[in-house]
Amino acid sequence: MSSPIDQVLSEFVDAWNAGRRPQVDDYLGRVAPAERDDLADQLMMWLAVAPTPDYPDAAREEIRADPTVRAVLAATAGEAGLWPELLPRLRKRAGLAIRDLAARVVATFGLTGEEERTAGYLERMERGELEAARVSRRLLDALGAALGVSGESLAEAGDLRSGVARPAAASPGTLWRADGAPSDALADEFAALSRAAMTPAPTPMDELDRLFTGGPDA
Amino acid sequence: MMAAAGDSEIVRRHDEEKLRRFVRCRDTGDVEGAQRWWAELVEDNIDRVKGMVAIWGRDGRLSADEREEAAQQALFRLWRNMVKTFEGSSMGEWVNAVRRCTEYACMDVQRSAARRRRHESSLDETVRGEDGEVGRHDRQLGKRAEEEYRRAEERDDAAGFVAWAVPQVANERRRTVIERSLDGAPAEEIAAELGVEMGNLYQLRSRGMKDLAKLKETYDP
Repeated sequence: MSSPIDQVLSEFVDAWNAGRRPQVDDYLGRVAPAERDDLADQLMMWLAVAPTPDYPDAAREEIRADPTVRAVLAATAGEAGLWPELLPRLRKRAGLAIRDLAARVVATFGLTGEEERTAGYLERMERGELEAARVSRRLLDALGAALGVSGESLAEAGDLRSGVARPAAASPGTLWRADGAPSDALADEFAALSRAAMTPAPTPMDELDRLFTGGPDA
Repeated sequence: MMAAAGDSEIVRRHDEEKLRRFVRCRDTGDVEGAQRWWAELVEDNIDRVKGMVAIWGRDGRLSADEREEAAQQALFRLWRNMVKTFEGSSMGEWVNAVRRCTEYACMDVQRSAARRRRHESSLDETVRGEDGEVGRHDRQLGKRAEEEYRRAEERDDAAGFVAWAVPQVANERRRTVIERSLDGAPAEEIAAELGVEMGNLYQLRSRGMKDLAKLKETYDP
């Protein structure tokens, strides 16, 4: 004789396999509270072994529109990692407006008069417009202190792409022998280098620029 | 659509191909390629992650917002693991990674929520340890969890738990029901194949799942 758990589990499995995206809570809610742990164990076992369903197109669209999926993919694709999602949340939790946070940064680094530019930089950080790898660790420590987390945590949150290896560069001592005429691509690179050489040097970075864009050691 | 016998193997191979392509892109520095295959893996597995989070957070252990946060954290942990240390190529390893990252994310979110309820605002606050030394308790816990995860991952059999466990389900009918369920066959179809009532089929499926759970304890102590 089968129990209610047996039937509920079976219906979950069928719904999963059919790509109907069954919600665990709906199924747990169908059994008596005393039986939920037993059902939960079996559902966990199924989720640990179940193949990915062949989702219908409509389900696939739903998944792509899921806010969690969108947030995760945006964070792992962006140069700023989790910052656009994390920094506003931490700031809100700390009860600080952008200008308050800017005032703390200015005070920490003795940059009186730079409140407005600092606030602008902070807004860009929150929008994910600053590359996390170029933000100074000193600044992250100061921001972390104001937001109640460590600078190291902030650095890690911004650094979601660094593990993807870049192709190994040739060692400085490596010599390459040209086997034929230089390619168009090489000619384009020389042209770009020439243009760069003729372009006036940018305005030197000041202390505030260095904090936000000068690299981790700035 | 009726599932043919052996479909689970085809699905697994398809999933594993995505995993292999991700690893290949990662190792050759193809960031865009790695992100493309990562996106496919996330889309394929978001229901698995959210289902595991829901089981973990059932009966009010995590609020709706905390579950969302845990699902996100689980995927970020998974991404970090995938880009930095993951060396596997089987779906068994991948699903194991999903499960462990989800568990740690749920624990983290629950700890953070408990702290907030105690009016402590830091995600990573400094607390005094048992020995009186001031340390970053959560960071230590997180690092320990990561180390445990890596050790567990090293123990995993690349062939995957399913391939190892299903043939060991001793009862033939339960084994058949599990195999056909993993193939995607619906309950009615399996019941017809075995010539059993639906009630019996539900029971065979449930007991087969319990057999797998027991085998899992042996496989992954």
